[in-house]
Amino acid sequence: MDLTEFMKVLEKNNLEIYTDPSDTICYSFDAANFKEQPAAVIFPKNTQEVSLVLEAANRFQVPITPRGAGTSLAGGTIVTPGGVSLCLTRMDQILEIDEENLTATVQPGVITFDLHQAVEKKGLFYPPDPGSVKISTIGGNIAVNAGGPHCFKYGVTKDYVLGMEVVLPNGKIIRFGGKVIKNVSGFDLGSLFIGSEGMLGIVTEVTLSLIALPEESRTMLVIYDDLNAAANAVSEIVRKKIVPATLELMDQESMILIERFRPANLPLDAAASILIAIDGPAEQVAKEMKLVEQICQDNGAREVRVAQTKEEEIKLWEGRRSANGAMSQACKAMVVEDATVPRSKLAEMVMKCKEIAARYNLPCAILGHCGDGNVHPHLLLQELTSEEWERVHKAVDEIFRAALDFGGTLTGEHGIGLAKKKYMSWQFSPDTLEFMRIIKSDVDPNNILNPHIML
Amino acid sequence: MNFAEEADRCKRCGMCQPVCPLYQAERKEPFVARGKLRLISVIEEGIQTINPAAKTTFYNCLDCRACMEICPAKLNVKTLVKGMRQKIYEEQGDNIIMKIALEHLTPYPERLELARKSLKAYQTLGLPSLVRTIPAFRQREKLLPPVPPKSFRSSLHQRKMKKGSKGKVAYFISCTTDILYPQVGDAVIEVLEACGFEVYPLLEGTCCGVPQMGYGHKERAKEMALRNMLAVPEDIEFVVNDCATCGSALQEYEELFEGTEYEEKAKKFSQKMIDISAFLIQHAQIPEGEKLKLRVTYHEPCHLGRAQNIKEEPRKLINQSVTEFTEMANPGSCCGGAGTFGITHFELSQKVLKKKISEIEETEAEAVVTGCPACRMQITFGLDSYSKKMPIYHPVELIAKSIGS
Repeated sequence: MDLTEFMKVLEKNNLEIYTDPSDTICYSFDAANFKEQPAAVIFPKNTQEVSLVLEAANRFQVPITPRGAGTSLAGGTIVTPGGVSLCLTRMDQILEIDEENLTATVQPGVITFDLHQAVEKKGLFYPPDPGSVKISTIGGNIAVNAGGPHCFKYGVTKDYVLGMEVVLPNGKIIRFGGKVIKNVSGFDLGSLFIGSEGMLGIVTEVTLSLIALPEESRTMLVIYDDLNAAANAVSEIVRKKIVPATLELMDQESMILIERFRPANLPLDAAASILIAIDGPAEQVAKEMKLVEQICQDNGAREVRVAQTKEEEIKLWEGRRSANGAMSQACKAMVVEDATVPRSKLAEMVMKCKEIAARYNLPCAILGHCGDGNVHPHLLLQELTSEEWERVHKAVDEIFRAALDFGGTLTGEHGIGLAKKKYMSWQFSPDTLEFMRIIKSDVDPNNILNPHIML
Repeated sequence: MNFAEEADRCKRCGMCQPVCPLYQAERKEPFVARGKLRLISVIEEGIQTINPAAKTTFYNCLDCRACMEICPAKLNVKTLVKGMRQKIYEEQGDNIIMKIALEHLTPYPERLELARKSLKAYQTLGLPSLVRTIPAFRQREKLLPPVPPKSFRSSLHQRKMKKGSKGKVAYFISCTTDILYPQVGDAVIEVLEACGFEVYPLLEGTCCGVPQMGYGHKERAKEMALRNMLAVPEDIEFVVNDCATCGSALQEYEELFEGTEYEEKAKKFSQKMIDISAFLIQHAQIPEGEKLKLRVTYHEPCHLGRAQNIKEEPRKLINQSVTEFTEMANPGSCCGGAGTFGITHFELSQKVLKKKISEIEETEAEAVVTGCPACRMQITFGLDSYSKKMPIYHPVELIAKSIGS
């Protein structure tokens, strides 16, 4: 590694850089629990600058870690020791919203929520809505193939990517896909880069597909005394061929913490609640709301609260949206996992997480996206002693073991990053891992892009 | 407060990013609370010194408190940043201009009056056009509004205060009302008198101390605070103020004197302080007036809406006094003025301002209402530079006009 020569190239080309430790320290973290101070932070303004950086990094073997808003819950934006952070937040232009082809072409630093607002003004809809939607960037969403509550009905980020411009580790710029839905020319390169956590290339432009904004959306909160009954209701809804826009589970511990933080009139003595939103044409929404309400009642719901006004709807969602804040305030540090299991195993997985956390004497609040089996156990640390961390690590080990035993996966939407690297061999066979490593080493022979994570 | 412990409470969720006007303008972590808190941690741990880059970072803050409002941890960003600025001042001192302004000018109303006279002469002699030929001042110079011929304080010497049936309220005179916007002070007195109050202007008082607090001159700020505290007679129940920033600072005296013999006195003082809008809605009966035929929008000052949680009252005054009131998008987001920030960080401040101006434009209002003189200067400049000139009023001016007192 020759950092000095690398920096000379950047300076010669007038790139915007932070090198002062007072500035780079501000890039030593993300929303997970890892810290590493970058040697420099680079802010490219366009594709050419990204290309220049990677070409130089490749030549001087400087490890580069791309970064958007830095909201990773898996430490995916933490630099390799001695490495450099490539921050794409200043490439933040929505280049085009094409109302005829229903596409949006954007730079990677566009904030997901800004895109939502821009397309919704035109009656269009970009459904992926990760928890950090107001903060996170499209580039980061692509890096981890982000999901969110909407994904059961509408799919995840990869389902909306039509085309990309990517800078490869050697600095070469490639483009593939475009404004067409049907496109089978060559390999599906999008699949290679989406979810690759910045290890194979840097996305510098992306064309996303949009859909029509649903005419109507309504919400209800369904309260259960028994988690299994809640799970049965979800199964029954799906069996009846109804696809709600969201099916958000909050367990008792979550509701208690939310109520303490920002009261939303949630039942504190119930085992779980599900926040169900149904969207589509107004007539169909009305019909499905009735059906879902009936199914929930038939499956032992204690209470079904249907929001009658927009204000009531906002109030119901506020509780759910403040959940992460509520939990983070109930502890000194928080570990959030996002193991995902087949939908039919959701209730069992939630119970298993509770059982594991109790065994290790760790407070645990669970949120889940019931529709897609994505479970978010939040382990709350109170002491930050090494003994407590040890218990957390053991509990997390068991949670992942359980998820894999249920036929699930380590992560549904947060990515592997640093946090889950050690579990990769639990999920994948040596041959599968070897295949991933071959791809990595062929695309990035000098191992400069995020070399320390995932594999 | 233990700075290291407070900064370490940050869970790095990033929720401060979308609400921070400077992060939105620059999209870089040192501009937002999350980055600053990490920097404070390493400084407090002794890993990092307050070098020039760190100093820049701590002065890249509008003190708009949007981060504090959204933060799940309710982190006291305001006090942390102020504390770091105090450290900088104590360790490194100040440049000569700041030293004169903060130590020798603003603490003394009579010297401010001299400054006003000099500024008036400067404008009368046509010197601004000369100054604007200097590139660095070409735009910046326009931030200074036309200086009135007479200060508010001096006009009070000839004014005879009316006796009222509703009792006596004290009035804290802000520096900007005194030397730049005396019409606001006139409106405050007219409206209070029309409501039946006898107004007792705190002529013995001085600047609230906000510039000193903001630049880390805590000891000087305390001296000024003490002078203000002594200026309020014991039997006074309410002290009204018409400047959002002064108002919020006056309520923070308790924090300023924390752990000293004056803490209790400061607390009592702070409890008497009330913004004129809040006072009129909560404690006064405003006589019926005639609504002005005017379409207005409201810019909610950071130090009124968030710092003092006064959100409804100015809007009620507006609705009572004009025929048409349209809310702009993000009425509570900072205009970028932030005291001296608009001058010291002109370019960055303009980025924040441009967004505000386009939000004002979208309302198609004919006038802007705001209860903060720094916002008033900034928005006047913004409308002038990026849109079209339009009048700006304090809510109390609209009430004064509508009741025609």
